[in-house]
Amino acid sequence: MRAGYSLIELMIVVAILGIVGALSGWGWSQHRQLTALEIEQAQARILLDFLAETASQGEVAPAEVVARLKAPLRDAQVDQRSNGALQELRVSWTGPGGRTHRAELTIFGGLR
Amino acid sequence: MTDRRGFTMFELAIVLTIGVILVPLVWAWLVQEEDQARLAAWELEIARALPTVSEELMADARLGVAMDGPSVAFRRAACEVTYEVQGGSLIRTAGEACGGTRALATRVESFAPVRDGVELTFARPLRPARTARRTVFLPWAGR
Repeated sequence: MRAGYSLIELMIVVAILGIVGALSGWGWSQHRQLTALEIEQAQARILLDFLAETASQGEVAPAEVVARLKAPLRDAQVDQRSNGALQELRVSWTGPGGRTHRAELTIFGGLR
Repeated sequence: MTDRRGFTMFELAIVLTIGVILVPLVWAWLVQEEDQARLAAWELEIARALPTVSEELMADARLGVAMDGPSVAFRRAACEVTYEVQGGSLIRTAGEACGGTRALATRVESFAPVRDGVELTFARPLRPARTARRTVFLPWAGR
């Protein structure tokens, strides 16, 4: 009568455990990146709201405040474009994982 | 074939040694991952609270005038609006004409006025003697 497991059986079990472990580790790291991205998106939104708010009051957004709002966003770029009565505000930055992300806001009225 | 049953003392000693090494390592890893999971959930809370706080703050700054003082407050035509941290929650206090009183965020440690805005600090206790903090600058374009 045969007792115990063969080497191939043990290897299969270990391989399955390894695959499951690797998949769960990858899923967890993706979840952490998405969480970090949610905060960055909220901060980009605050930056866009501030630019829109100052524009609606006929003011130019103070550079030091804009710089402070851009600070948590890696390589953040702010782009303001006029398209007739519409003004497009766009902020892009390098998010977690090195991908470029973008948030946009379109407002009515002129930016000064 | 020998009629051997059970394990030898040497085999048991090897298994116990491996167990003694592995259990603390796995335990430390689990504790660390638990903290990471708490941090992730807390960061999601922050991400969801930030737009609300920012929008309320900008609206109050737009409609009112910032008042001098240690706390964040605005004088509006019909009432005064104040922001205070009470029991770890950020509370916006105002009369019904100005939107009423409500809690805007939880796990808040401080809400301090700085130049051109406020600094909102969230805090999350993770372990005894360890607290994670995150400070966010919220601007206002008020008068």
